[in-house]
Amino acid sequence: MIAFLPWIPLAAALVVLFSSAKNERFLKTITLTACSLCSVSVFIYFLNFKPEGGFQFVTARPWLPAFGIQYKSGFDGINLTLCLLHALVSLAGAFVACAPKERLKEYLFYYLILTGGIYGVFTSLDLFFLYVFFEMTLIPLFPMIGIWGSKNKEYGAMKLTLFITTGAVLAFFGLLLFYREAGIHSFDLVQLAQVLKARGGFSIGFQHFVAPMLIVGFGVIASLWPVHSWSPIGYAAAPTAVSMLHAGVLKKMGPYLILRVAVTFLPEGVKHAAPWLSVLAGIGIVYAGLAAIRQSDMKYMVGFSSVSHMGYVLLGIAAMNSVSLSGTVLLMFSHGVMAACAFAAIGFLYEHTHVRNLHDFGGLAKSMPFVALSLILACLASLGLPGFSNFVSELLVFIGAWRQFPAVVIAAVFGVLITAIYLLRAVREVCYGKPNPRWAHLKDAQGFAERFPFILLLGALLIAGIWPHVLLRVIEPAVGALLS
Amino acid sequence: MLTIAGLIFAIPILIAALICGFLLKKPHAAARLATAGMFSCFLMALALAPQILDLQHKHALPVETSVIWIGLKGLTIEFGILLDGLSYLMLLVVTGIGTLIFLYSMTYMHGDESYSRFFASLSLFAFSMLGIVFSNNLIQTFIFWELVGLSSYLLIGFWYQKPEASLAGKKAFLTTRVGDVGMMFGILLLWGHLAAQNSGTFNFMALKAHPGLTAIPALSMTLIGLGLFMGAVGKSAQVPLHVWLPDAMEGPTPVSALIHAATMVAAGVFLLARIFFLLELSPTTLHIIAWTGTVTSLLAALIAVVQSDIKKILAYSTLSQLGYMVMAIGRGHVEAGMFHLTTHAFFKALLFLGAGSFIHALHTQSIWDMGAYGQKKFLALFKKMPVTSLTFIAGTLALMGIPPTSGFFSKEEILTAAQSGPQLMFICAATVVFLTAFYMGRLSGAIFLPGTIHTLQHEDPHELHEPHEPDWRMLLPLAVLGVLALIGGFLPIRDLLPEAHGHQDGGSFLLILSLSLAGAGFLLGILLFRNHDESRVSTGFMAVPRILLERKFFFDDAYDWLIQNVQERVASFCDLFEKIVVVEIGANGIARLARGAGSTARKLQTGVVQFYALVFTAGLGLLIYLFVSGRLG
Repeated sequence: MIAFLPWIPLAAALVVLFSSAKNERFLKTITLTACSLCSVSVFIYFLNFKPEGGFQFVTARPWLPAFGIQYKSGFDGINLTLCLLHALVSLAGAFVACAPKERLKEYLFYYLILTGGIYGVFTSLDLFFLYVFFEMTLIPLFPMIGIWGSKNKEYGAMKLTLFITTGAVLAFFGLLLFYREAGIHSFDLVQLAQVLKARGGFSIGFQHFVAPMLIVGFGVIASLWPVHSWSPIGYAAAPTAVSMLHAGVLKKMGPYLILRVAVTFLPEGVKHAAPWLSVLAGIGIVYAGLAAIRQSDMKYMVGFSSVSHMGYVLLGIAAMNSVSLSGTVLLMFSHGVMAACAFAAIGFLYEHTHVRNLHDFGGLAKSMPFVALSLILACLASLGLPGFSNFVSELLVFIGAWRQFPAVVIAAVFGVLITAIYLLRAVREVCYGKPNPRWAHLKDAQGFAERFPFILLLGALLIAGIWPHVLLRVIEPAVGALLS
Repeated sequence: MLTIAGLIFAIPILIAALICGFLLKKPHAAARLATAGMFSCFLMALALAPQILDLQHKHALPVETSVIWIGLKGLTIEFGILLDGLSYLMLLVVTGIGTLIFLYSMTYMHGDESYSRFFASLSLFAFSMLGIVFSNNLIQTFIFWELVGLSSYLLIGFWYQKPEASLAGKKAFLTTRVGDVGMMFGILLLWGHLAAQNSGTFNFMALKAHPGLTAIPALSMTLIGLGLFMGAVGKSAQVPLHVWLPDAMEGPTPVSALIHAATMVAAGVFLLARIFFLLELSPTTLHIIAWTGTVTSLLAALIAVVQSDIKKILAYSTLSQLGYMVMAIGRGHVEAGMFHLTTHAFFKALLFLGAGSFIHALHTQSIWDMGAYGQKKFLALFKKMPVTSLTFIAGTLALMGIPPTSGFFSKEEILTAAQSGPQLMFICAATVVFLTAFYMGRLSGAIFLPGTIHTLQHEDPHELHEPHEPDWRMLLPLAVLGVLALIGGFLPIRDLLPEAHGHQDGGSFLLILSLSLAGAGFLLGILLFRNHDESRVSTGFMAVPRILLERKFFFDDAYDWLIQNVQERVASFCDLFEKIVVVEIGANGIARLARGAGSTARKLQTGVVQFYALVFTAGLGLLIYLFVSGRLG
C-alpha cells in the first residue's frame, strides 16, 4: 500500500491535467482529496508503526532486474517522520494552493507532481527510484516559480534549480562510485546495508573519498554554507505553496540523504569529514543569522533563517551519535513545519497587501489577530521557545554535539540569540505598534480553509514540543540502527 | 501531597487555555475564573503547610516525583515536582501574592479592550513560574525559565500599540536571553563533565549526591557556576544585564508588582538557592556573585535617587534589593537571601500596588505631579486616599527596614551576611541602607507633603477630578499586603529554610547603625524634597554626579553603541559578503548561465500544459537513459 503513496497525487495530477480549467471547484476538490488521502494514510502508518521493528510496510517490485533496479518502498523511523512532515505540510500547502489565482489548473497540476515526487523520495528504499523522484521534484519548481513567483522570479527560479541540480550531479557521481564499489548490482538500500555489514563496510580510503562528495552534493540541497545562496533568493521568488513545500520539506531531502546514504554506508568517511562539516555548520548558523538581521524583506529574512537553522541539522549529523542524530531528525521535522507556517503567514499577508517589507506593516495584531498570532507563534517556535518541538530538537543537538565540538556548539547557542534578535524585531515591526491605516480594509483569515493550515501546523509543533516522545520513540531506534 | 502540588501546577495553564479557547469575548467571566483559580491554588498550597512542616522537622524533605520526558540512550530528561522548604516557600509567595494581584487587576484593568488576554497571560505566567518553583532538574528549570521570559514579554508589551511598550518587551526578552545563553553553557559544561564519567544527570537531588562533582576541575566548576549564575543575572536583573527592568515598567502596574518585583525577578535568587551546592564548590564563583550583588544594589540605589517616575523609582529599588539578596547568597547566606526575597515580595508588591492606586486616581506617574495635588491642602492626598496612603507608608517603612516591620528582620540578616565579607562590601551595603531611606524619603516628601514651588508639568483635564480610593478589589490586596509587610517578620518563614551557616547575631551594632542610617536618609530626603523642588538639590551638592546618575551610569548608551557599531556592522558585513562574494563572485558563472537560460525559459512559459508534460516525460526518459548508461560506462 505504501507503494501507492507517491502515485495518488501523481494520478490526481493527471486528472487535473485532463479536466476543464473552468471547473475550479472540481480541481480544488481533486487536489485536496488526494493530499488528504495521502496525509491520512501516512498518519495511519504512523500509528501502526512498531518503533523497534526496523523497516516496515516494505513492498518490492522488480523493474529492471538486469540492473538490479526494483521499485521498493518502506518506512523506518526516519523517513516515516519525514513523511509525516510532508503529510502535514503538503496538506496545509494544498489549502494555500487552492486560494484564488490565475491559471489555477496548471498550478495545482504542478503542485500535485511536486507532492507526489516528495512522497516518492521519502518512501523509496531503492536508490534508483529515489533519485528519479528527486529529479521529478525539480521539474515543477521551475515553472511554478517562473510563472507565479514574484520579485526577480526568473533569476530565483534558475538559481534554485541550477544549484540543486549541480549538487545532485555531484551526489550522483558519488552514488555511481558507490554502486560500482559495492558491486552487487543492487540499488536496494536495505540489501546494500546487509551485504556491506557482512563484508565489514567499504575500505577506509574509499569512504574518505566519497563521503565528502555526498555531503557537499546533498549539502547543497540542505543549504550548507557556502553553497546556500540559492535558498533566500529562491524562496523570495517562489509562490507561497512552493516556499512552504521547499523550505519545509524538500530542503530536508539533503540531510535525509546524507543520513540514508553517507552515514549508513560511509560512517568512517563521515567521521573523517565531521570536523569541517561542523565548522561549516557553525559558520552557517551565525553568518546566515547575522545576514538575516539586515534583511527587510520578510521572505529573505525567513530564507536566511532557514539557512541558519539547517546549520543545526548539519551540526547534529556531524556529531554522529544517537542523541545528536535524534535531535537532527526531530529538528528536520520541527523546522519544516515551522518554516511552512511562517511562509504561509507571510504569503497570506503578501497576497492581500502585495508588500513584504517589514516597515510597510504595523499593528497587524489589531486588524488581523489570527494571522498575526500565527506568525508570532511560528517566530517563537523558530527562536527555540520551549513548548515547541524546535526547542527540544535544538537542545538534543546541543547536548549530543557538545562533547565533540564544544566551540561550534557555543557558536550555535549564540545563534539562538541571534535568531531572537531578528525575529522579535520582525514581530514588533509587523504585528505591534500603531496600526498602519493602509491596511485598515484588510480582512483576517476567515473560515476553515484559510485557518486550517495554521492550526494544523502549529498544533503539530506544540504536540511534538510538549510530548516529544511521540516522535522520538520512532526516531531513536531508527537512528540507532543507522549507527550500528 | 505531590498530587495536590501537581493540581496546583495544572490549574493555571488550564485556566489560560480555557480563557484563550472560550472566554476571549467574555472578559468578566475570564477575570473571575482566573482569580478564583489562583485563589484555589493558594488555598491548596496553604493546606499543605502542616505536612510540609512536619516532614521538615523529621528531615524527610525533599520529596519528589517525576515522569521521563525525554528518554534516549544515555540521556534522560525528567519532568517533575520537587517539594522542599525552599520550593514550598516560593509556592506560597507566588500563589499568595498572585491571588492578591489577580484580584487587584480586576479593577485596575477594568474596561481594557484586552481584559481577557491580560488574565490569560497572567495565568500563563503563574504556570511558568510554578514550573520553576517545582522543577526537579536543570532542563525543566531552563524550560520554564524561558517561558516566564515569554510571559514577561507578552505582559510588558501588553499595550502593544504603544511603541515604547513593544520595544521594552523585546528588550526584556533579548536581555534575559543573553543570560539564558550563559545558563545553557553552564548546563552543557556540567553535563559534559558528568557524561564523560558515564553518569550524566540534570536532576538536582542526584547532582547533590553525585560523587563525580568533586572530580570536575576547579576552572570548569567556576565556569559552570558562572554560566548558571548568568541565567540569574538576566532574570534577576543584576548588573550588567539589569537594563531591561526599568524599561519593563511600560507594562501595566499589576504586572510590575507581580512579575517585575515580587516573583519572576526573584526567580534568579531562587535558582541560586536551589543550586547553591554547585556554586559553593567554587569560591571564585561565590566571590563574583557576592560582588555582582553588591555593585547592583549600590548602583541601582544611586540611580533611584534621581528618578521622578514613581514606577521607575520602585523599579530601581527592586534592582537594589535583588542585589542585596544575590550578595547574601554569594556570601553563603542562602537563608538570608530567601528570607529577604519573601519579605521583599510583600512590601515591594505593596508599594507597586499602592503606586498603581495613586496612578489610577491621579492619572500621572510623576511624583512631582502627584505631589501637586497636595498644594491645595496639608496632607490632602492622605485624607482623600487614606488606605492607599497608610499602606504605602507601611511598605516604605518595611523597605527601609524599620523595626518591627518585616523588612527589618530580613535586612538585618542581609547586613550580617555583608558584615562577614570584605569591609568594602559592608560599607556598600550600609550605604545602600542610607540611600534606600533617602529615595523613599524623597518620594514620600514629594507626594504627601505640601509643595509651593512646583507647577504642573503638563495640564491634563483628568487632574481636575478629585482623587478617590478605588473599590474593595484594589483595597483588599493593599490591606493584606500592608499587614504582611508590617508583621511578616514574625511568620515562621525561616523554619522552611536551611539552617544558617554559623549564624551569629549582628547585635546592637548593626541595629543602631542601620537605624541611624535609615533615619538620617529618610529625614534628609523629606526635608530636601518636601517642597517639590527638583532643581535645588540637583544644582547643589550633586551637580556633577547627576549626569552620571541620570544617564544611569551609561549602561544603556554603551549597549546602544555596541548594537549600532558591533552587531549591526558585523551583520552588514555578512549581508554584503553574501551579496558580493557569495552571490556575485562565487556564483557569478552560474548567474550568467542563469540569465541565458532565463530568456529561453520565458519562451517556454507561453506554451500549453501538454507541452510541459511532454518536456517532463522527455526529461524523465533522458534521465533514466543517462543513469543506465552511466552505470554501463
